[in-house]
Amino acid sequence: MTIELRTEGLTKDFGALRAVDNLALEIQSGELVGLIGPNGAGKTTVFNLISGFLKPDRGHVYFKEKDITGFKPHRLPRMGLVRTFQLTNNFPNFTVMENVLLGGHHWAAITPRTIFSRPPRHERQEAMGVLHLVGLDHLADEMAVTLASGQQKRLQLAVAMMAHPELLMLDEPLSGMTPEEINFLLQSIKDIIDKGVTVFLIEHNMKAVMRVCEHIIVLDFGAKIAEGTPEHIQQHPQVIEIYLGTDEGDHDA
Amino acid sequence: MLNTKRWSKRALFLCPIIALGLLPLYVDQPYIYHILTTVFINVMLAASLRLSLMTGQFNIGHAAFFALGAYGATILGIQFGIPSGVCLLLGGLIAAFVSLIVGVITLRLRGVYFALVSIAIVEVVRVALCKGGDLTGGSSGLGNIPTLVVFGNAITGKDEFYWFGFVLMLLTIFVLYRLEIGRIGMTWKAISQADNMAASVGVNIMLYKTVAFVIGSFFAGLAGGFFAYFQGFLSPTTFSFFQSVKILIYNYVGGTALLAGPIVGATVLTLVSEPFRGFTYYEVILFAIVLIVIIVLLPGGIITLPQKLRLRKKYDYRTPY
Repeated sequence: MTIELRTEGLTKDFGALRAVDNLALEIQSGELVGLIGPNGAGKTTVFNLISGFLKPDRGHVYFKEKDITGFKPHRLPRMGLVRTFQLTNNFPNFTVMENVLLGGHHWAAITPRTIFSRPPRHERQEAMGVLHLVGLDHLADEMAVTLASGQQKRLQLAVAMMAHPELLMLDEPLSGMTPEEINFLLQSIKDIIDKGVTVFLIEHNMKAVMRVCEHIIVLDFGAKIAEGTPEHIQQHPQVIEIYLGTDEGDHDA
Repeated sequence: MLNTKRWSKRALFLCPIIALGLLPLYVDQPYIYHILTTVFINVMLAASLRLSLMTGQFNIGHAAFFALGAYGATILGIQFGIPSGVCLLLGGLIAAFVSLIVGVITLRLRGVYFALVSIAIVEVVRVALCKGGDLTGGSSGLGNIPTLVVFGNAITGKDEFYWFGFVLMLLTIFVLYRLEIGRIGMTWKAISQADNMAASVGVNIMLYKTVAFVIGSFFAGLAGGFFAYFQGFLSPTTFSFFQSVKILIYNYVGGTALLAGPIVGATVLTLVSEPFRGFTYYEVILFAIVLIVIIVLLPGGIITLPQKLRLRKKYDYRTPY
């Protein structure tokens, strides 16, 4: 097993608020890792720091043992790191197909031959395959703006997959989805893992996280408080206190 | 097999081109050529500004690059005796070069901030032209512009300018159209819709914005050089802030959804405002009225008129780019 992603002492302050506090984490390649924590724990900030949308105040990010700290976001897909966003309408005025085609931007390079032409047939075929994976192939010619929120999330996954990720970082891929869609998407994510892609995801749906993730990292106030298998996390006293503890409190009341 | 639908669509574009191309054989009125050549220049300006708008940059400084092309071509010809055909091209390249420097610095700004900077650009260029001494002729303007010679043919008559301007405009539109439907155009439009998302799949946003800005400025400069030879006299007042606003209004009156928008907008507005040319205040009022009427009655621009009149099947023009 090789280490796909590693951070060392990652720290980010927003004014007086420490959003991420000396965070060290490791993701083995081929794993499905979940990042959980209460609202405001700094999960999305961690994603932004890793993917270059924010610069860390201290610490380093290593991707495949290469230091990528402070890299511009657009350099990372070419290296194999692709992320999605929590809230997005994708490219609303493009069709679903065009959205996915844009995902292939970094490898379907702009050359003197392609600069003036539409994307070729083999790219369209690949895009169609990716759309099939997330179950949107029947909507390929619809405008993205017309999609429901669960479909938007699936489209975003398709766009990210078109970018040929080795490490796929998903920011709440299941929010806004019906139970059927969640089941479908979890299957899609498993298919993606089977293709050899490492997946790192933030999710609030505990049932789903516990079901699919092999490894879970728990964040609170920007610091890692627990890490391990789903069983281990469910037993962890600190996790129960800050996270599941509120649930027990409700039962007592 | 003859595909009727496809050919009827092509005829929509080919008929005006053939009609305009053959016009000099049938009409012999310099005034008409003068107006139509002005239309061609304005179409080039409006269509080239579209590249900036497509990447989401609200650029009110386009007249600056129009001016740089005009003065650049003229000054190179007067000072260094470079052949005028070459100067025309160099005018475009000067505008492109300056826009590259300006773009690298300012294009990271977005929305209203970039708009403000672009106003500054057009004013700086205008004032520089006023204070340029003998080189630019100052605020009294620059005359003695050499004759335009292209491939050994001197272009002097109104009909010759008409032909040449027409070819130049068609070339510009052709290049801009191919860029827009190509992969690069798709990427430009993506940036204006969701730049974070574009960056997350590997789009170098600054690079693409800069390329769009530079190409747009090149064609504005080209139009400027042609304008200089066509007009035979240059004055800084031509390249005012209002000129920039006019180019923007062409885009919004025509419609921003398709490349046809700036072409239609520039054509209609140039023809409508022709009687007011020279009466600056009335021209401003006219542009304002047309803009308000279009915003209220046809928010998608003139290109949505066929749909409004139910001549064309429903197509979503609401969303620009």
